[in-house]
Amino acid sequence: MTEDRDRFTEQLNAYLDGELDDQQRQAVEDRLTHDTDARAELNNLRERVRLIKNLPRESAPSDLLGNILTAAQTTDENVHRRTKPRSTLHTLRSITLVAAALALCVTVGLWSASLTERPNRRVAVSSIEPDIRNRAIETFESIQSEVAPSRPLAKSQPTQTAITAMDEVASNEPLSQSPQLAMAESESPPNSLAGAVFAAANEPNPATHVPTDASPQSAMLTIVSPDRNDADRCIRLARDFDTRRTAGYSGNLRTRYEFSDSSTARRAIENADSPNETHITISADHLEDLIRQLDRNPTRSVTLVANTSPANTQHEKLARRSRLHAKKLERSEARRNGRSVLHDADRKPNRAFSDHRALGLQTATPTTAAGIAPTDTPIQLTIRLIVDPESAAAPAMRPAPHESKSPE
Amino acid sequence: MVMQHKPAPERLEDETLVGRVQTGDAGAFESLVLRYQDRVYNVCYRFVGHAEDARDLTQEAFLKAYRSIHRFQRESGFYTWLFRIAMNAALTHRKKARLRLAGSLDANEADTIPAPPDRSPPTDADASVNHQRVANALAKLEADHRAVIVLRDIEGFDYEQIANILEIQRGTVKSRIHRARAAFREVWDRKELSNSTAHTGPRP
Repeated sequence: MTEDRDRFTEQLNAYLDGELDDQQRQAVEDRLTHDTDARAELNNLRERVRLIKNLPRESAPSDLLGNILTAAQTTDENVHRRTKPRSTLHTLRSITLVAAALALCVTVGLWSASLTERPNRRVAVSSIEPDIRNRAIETFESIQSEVAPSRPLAKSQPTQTAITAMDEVASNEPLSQSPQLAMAESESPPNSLAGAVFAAANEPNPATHVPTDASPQSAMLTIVSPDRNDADRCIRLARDFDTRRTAGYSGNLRTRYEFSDSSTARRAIENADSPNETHITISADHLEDLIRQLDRNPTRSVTLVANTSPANTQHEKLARRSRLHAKKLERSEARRNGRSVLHDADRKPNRAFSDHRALGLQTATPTTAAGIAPTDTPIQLTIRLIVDPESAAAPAMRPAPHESKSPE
Repeated sequence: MVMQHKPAPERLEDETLVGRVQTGDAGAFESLVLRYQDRVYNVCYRFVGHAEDARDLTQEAFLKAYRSIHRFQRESGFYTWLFRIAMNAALTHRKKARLRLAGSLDANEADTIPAPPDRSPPTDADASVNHQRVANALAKLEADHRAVIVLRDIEGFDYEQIANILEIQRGTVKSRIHRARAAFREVWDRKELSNSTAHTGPRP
């Protein structure tokens, strides 16, 4: 009987909601005419539903629209890139990586400023068009003047350089060049997607850092641009992003430190707007830890870029393990799908990638070591270790926080 | 029979706007947000019971919709599609929140849900108290039950649309609504009883 009652109550609910067909509705109404319990039940139901329906409707907060539009703007490329031909897909994807890169760059810059014992200024610009370079530098300077008015960037005095090319083509040799050279000569390669700008200026004397200091002492900007229009877009994007980030973290060095560690880096990667790929720059000291975390929680393709020393055997081991890991994942995927999987290196006409197999185990060579891991789930772990000549001359790097373990 | 929850012209207008967003028209996206932000927010708010979380979820839903708008299938209707995204986000949010609360505050979670922001002058204090108690009773329900009640009784979706949003069968919607209302009644009656014995607050 209770089962029948239960079924009938279900019908009553549907009746109340106008979800019965004619025949079912008639059956319910017939029963209601002679079953007082059923009528009481219907009234009861009506009353409960009325209570819920009468709840006041809450309106969206007044600033929600603006927040949504701002956030959407920063991921605009996602929409555009899908409506553009394949040839520009990588270009646009790389633009979307800027946000993630900036988040890390800003704080890693801060972190390294306080960690190292020497003045640390970095400027590196790579572009096929002098115009774009100049504009990028101007933008950087304007941002710099906003965050550190007393310390304008002296672009003629860089002491350190790193160029991170954020697409598959733009990375060429100038990694170890002086910034001046990079700025002057990086108009090659002819097929390069226009520009990568990587710039940072840090507080010259880290000892003067006071944790309660309310004004940010440094900023770092990364811009990737495929052409002039996109360069403009990138610059606007970077400016917005930089402003927000700087505002969000100013006056709280502890927060910055947290943000520059590997866990926060991982979170930044996971929360990055780019759906498939993230490109970040991180301190070499945190690199291994971050890789380990990413291995535990693979989410997306990641390109890690870190300055390291040619003599750092730890990173050589890291590159080796990454390659082994890649092969293992590749084999398991091939087994599962009954087909073989190409390394990205086989597809991309990128000098750095195509060289990585030869150079991967030799971090002493001046350019790069990389491992690529195609996988069952989205992760494609790519490690690129970029030699920083200044680090090579500097005292030994701090040991990695944990004893090395294979990411496998 | 499938009931059209929204009038056809509005749906057509949605499709026009979506088409424009797909071609890169940011203004069209703004129109869509303006059109639906209150409803999405209200559903999220009634589901999670927390203004800040509801705000985050609403933002997340619109951003996800924006990013994947090229995958939007017109047959489902933008409105339904948007709510599917929002409910997915809200359900995921609840799971995470439960994990965080497991073993500690979970048992009392519903009692900690704050009152909604006071948007109207307290001309009817009894009604306001009553609303709070209804919201608390809703918060006591399992997430699946709360989801169908919010979608049906608060937002007014029909069963077909709810099935579409929650990606379940229409028959499942029907039985779930039945169980959800029964659960609500049980919680409500329990509250009524405790209220009357403790003499706290007016009876509804």
